[in-house]
Amino acid sequence: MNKSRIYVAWVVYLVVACLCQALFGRFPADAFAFPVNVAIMLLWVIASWVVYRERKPAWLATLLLSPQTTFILLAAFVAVSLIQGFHSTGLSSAWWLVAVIAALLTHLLFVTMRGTRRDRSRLARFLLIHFGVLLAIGGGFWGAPDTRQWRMAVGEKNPTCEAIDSKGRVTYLDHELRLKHFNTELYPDGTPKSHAAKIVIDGKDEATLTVNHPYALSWKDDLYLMGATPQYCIIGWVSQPWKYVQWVGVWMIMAGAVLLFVQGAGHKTIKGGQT
Amino acid sequence: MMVTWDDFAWFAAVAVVLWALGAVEAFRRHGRWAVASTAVGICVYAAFIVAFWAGLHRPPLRTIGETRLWYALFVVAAGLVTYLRWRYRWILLFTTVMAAVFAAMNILKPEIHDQTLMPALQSVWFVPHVTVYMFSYGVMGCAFILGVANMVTRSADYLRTADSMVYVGTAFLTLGMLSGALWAKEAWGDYWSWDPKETWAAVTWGLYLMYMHLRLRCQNRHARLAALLLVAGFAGLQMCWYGVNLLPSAQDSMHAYSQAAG
Repeated sequence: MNKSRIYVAWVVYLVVACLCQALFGRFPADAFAFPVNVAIMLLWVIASWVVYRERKPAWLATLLLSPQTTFILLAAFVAVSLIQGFHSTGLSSAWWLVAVIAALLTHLLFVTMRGTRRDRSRLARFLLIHFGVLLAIGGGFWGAPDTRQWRMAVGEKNPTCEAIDSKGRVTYLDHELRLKHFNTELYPDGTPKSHAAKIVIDGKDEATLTVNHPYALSWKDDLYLMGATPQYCIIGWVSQPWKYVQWVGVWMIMAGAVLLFVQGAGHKTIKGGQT
Repeated sequence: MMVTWDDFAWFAAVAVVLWALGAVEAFRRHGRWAVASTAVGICVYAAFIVAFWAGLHRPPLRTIGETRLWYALFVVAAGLVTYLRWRYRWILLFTTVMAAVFAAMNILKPEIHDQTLMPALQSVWFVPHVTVYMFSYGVMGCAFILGVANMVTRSADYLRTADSMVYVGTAFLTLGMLSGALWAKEAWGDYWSWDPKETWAAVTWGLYLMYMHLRLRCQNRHARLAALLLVAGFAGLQMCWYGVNLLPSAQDSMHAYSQAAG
């Protein structure tokens, strides 16, 4: 597969994504909630491994391992981010964004698989960064359908389990919350210095919420203090089962970034199109 | 004696004069004097930041004006390191001009406020997130100058030097972005939410990754494209730092406190 065909292939791919956007509207992320996302992800990993190992179909393996692909997909990522950056509403479920991130992850998976099998200098740095990006972005991508965010107005009088999701729909959650005490500390000029809300969960457990210090309700659910009025406080309830995958990825990239600083550019000629 | 914002002009003036002297000495090939003068200027400027921090009872990192303080410091520090390592005689002049512009902006339009620090900014991530970002901005400022130098002279040496700056700058840019992601998870519940500020950080990061991969693969081919990416990356940094606040998309930003902060 020559260079120009690689460019054509990716342009066609991106045009199809734009057509899907025009024809179908927003990407139906909710349809990929667990276990569908896990099943598709496993198929994706296995299929990628087979294509990589067998180099069949050859054109696909070449496409996904080519350095031109790295450049094109990074450019596409910048382009879709720019659209996001100038747009006033969130486009995170746009087809073109999903398409670019899916392609970027697939390319990253191929490049990472190749990187592990080659004797290369700075292997630790390469793996930390590339595998870290794979986990951090992959965790966000595959985990997005399982992520739920609600807001609750929690007052002192009656416990409540009523919440509003990110689309404005009312729902009733598994736990009842009641505000026991809310305290605001002020600076001398009257601006808030700190907020603290003590809440009672299901009539028995007590938790103190402050800004930047969420309360872990379960392995996947966290409560956040988002705001307050004299009558009630706003509690954010976030359910994000994939957060651990992203956390590991973020720290791997940070370790890789430290190595990037320590080891520097080096100006070593790399042959064979490795990225 | 407590150092307040009113003292900044004096510290800045002394520092800029010392940096300018360093730049002149560098042109006159008096390397030791250039280094000594620039380093003393950095110490004077850093002394103000430390004393101001102590007087403010909080890190001076909250407003755009406060982040400009750090930028001026880091851009000169990055220039000094570049001069020490590669001996470009002109680099100190450019970094001095950049730092002087930012110092002058802070004198003319201070945006330095009171001692208050809103609850959202009271996090262990606040200082590392902002200082690491400002350091990367300073280093990338040098890389931008080298990119422009390459476009003007077509000398490949400048890009080779820029490579080193971009590796260092991207390392710190990455640390800044990801420390922000960890902070966002603690504050808002998600590592990444495509907030305008985050989106522009992604744009900038992507541009520098394009540069690195282009240089890794193509070495001295496509030098003009590489230099253009340095310019575009620097423009992205400015958008990410303060330009994003001017966009309509930023009005509902979760980084709304950054209408004043960096």
